[in-house]
Amino acid sequence: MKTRTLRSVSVAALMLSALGFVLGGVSIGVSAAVGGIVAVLDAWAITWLAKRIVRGAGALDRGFAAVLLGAKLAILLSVCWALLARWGVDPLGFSVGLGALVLGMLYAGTELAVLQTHAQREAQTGEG
Amino acid sequence: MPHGESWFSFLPYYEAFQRWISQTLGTSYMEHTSRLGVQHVIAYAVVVLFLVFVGFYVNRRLKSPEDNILPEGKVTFFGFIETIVRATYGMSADLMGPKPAKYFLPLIGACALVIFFSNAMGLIPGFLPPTDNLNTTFAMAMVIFVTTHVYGVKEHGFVKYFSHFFGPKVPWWIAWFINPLMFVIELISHIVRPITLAIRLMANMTADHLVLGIFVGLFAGLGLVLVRFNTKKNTRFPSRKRGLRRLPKMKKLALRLVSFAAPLALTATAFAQEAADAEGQATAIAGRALAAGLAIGVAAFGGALGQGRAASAALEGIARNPNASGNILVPLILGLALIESLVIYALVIAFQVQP
Repeated sequence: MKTRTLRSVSVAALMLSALGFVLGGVSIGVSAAVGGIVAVLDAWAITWLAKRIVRGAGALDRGFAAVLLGAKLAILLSVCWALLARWGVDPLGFSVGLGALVLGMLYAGTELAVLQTHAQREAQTGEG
Repeated sequence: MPHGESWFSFLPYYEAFQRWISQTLGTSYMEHTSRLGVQHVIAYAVVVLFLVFVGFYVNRRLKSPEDNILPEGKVTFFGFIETIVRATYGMSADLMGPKPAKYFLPLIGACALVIFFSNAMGLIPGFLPPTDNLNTTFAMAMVIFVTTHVYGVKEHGFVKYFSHFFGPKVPWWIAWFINPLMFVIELISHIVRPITLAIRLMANMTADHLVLGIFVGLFAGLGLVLVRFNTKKNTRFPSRKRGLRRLPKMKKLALRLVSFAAPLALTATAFAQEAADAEGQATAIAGRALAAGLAIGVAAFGGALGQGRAASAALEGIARNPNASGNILVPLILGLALIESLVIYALVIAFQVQP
């Protein structure tokens, strides 16, 4: 899942960045690329953290998991704010690039669901 | 939709009708415009037409007594109308006695139904209640005013009816100055009553519609938030699942989070718009700062809360069924990603909105 998610988000980020360059020019395109990089990093962090939560479910306290997620969210917001406010990233382009997180995740989820359905059908056919 | 306009503005020949009315009846002094408003006339006609159909329906139901021996076990439209009519008759009978109450029931009941459905029309987005116009309320008040006095004269005779305007019978040495004074007071009281009642209903409905519009503008996504609460168990039929209970847990969570974040963005833009329209730079800056702060503050709070709940639900599921951890991981990642993207979008909106 981790590889698939990161691959989907990266591809979506590349596509959206290209779209930003084509439709919005250099400023929007660069901002879209920055948004795409943030999306890929966020996807990686989410996947890593979710795996830690799920695998360490026996030992990991619920409250601690929530704190970890909250801390990650706070760091992410700070980075985004710094990018927008200090380093002059265009908000529109950044939003476009960040869309890679949603698109990539949804694509990865759908792909996985389709693969699981195929696997189940094949298993049923084999049993039959 | 501009202020004072409704869906009726899109009716064919609306403009021509308004122009014809303005040319025939003259300009409007009350509305301070060159054209006479006809929104309330059309809305009132729609309400009356609706009530005519209701009258036919209720009349047809009453003609089949076998259907009306027992009260209905659930809330129906017929039962609702019956309740209004009963309440109106009961209140009138308490005030004026059964005989006059029965005599006046068609008039009072019609007024009650017209006012109720006119006011209720204002709750439908894009419609204006006809009762928020002084022309409507004053016309209705005048009908009641004339009817009251005509009935009074008919019942008691002209002299006896108007003699009660002079007040109670008192000794002559008091009556010579009290009775003329009472007559003037009573006369003013009767003349002013329809005016004050008309203004009261109009002002109530105008203020109500205005406040409703502001709240709807601010919390346009509130309906989505209500999805969060539509998870109550069906106690009558436990096997039937309602609303979000039909959906898988993570989809339910994603829906709830979208419902949580949507109003935030809408609220922020609403505040920003208010700020842009506001007079004075200071007010605009304050409004935009408030919008930005509210957008990111509530979005971050809601996002953190949502992520915490998602993790909690995942851990709970794994604790109950450790073998399901593989199935839980993917929806958990999806849910967390969607939550975070919404929060970051709220941040971008806040950045755009900030002064």
